[in-house]
Amino acid sequence: MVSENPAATLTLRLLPDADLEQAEQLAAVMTPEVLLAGDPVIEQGASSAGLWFVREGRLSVEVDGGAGPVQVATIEPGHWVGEVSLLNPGPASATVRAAEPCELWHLTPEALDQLRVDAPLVALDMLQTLSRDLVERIRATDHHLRDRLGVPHPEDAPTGWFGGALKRLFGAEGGPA
Amino acid sequence: MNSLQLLREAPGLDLFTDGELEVLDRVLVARAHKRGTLLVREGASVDAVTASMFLLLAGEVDVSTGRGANTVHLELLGPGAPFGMNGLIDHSPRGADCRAKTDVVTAELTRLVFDELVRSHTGVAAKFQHVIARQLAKDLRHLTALVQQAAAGDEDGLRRRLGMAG
Repeated sequence: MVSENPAATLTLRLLPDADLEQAEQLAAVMTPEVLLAGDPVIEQGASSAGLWFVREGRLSVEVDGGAGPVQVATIEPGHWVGEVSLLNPGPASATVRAAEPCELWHLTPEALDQLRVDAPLVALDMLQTLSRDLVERIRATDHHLRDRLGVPHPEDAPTGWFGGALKRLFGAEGGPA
Repeated sequence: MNSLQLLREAPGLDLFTDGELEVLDRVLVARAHKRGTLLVREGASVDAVTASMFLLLAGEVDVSTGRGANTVHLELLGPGAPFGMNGLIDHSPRGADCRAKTDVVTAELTRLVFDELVRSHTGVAAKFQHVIARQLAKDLRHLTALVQQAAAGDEDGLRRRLGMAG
């Protein structure tokens, strides 16, 4: 369920420890974008920089491993894509497009730098959220790579949507696509 | 060379002003280690209170996982790179071995000191968290490329790239 207050939407996951005023500070440096169904957000292989937060609508994530695009995930309101390109700009590893009409908020690397100056505690809160998310995704990717190479796992199987997306794309045992 | 000078010269720390690097230098604990020293051990538990992470100030650190013929060399870190970040994020067991490939200088930051840094110098803490998140994003991009290479059928090339025996 999306809140009627745009800033409050950010507190769902991106700023779990923030109050409404702090969420508004983040919203102030993000740029709203409206998309129609099918519009691209990120193209696999193309240079990308920035995070897209889903305010309304759903995004579809597709990966083409050489045998045609495979949908690996759907991004719902209150969630986001592009944190890797926000922090380490470069070629995108997946194509993201609007599965239906969407309202997104775009955070560029420059806007993140500005937020760090204007509201360091808000920037810190968001960067900690992104760091936890990245650690989970690294764990899932590491788990998958170990399966492929036959390297024993030091811990339990990965959880979360990213581990599931990898399995859907490459198979539960890491077999070729 | 003292630790502040190493912080000034580390390429990954360009976000910080000189005054902020002086703050960091006061809270980080710098130590020199000989080549071959195991700095972080895969699978080691991380205590939520005494947890720590490291910043590489000089030299190179090899990040690897697995044992024997299954050893995978994931990444080679240089000055300015943070490692062992899960100590500050989710306190999960260490995910890889980090071993000094050369003589190195590291700077350790504990969870407790970082929490104090958040209270006393929020802007510096935010920049430090940015450095951590940036390295995590770089690590994920690197791992994703390895998985894509395997998915493309080049498993032998991947094994060579990772320095695996056989």
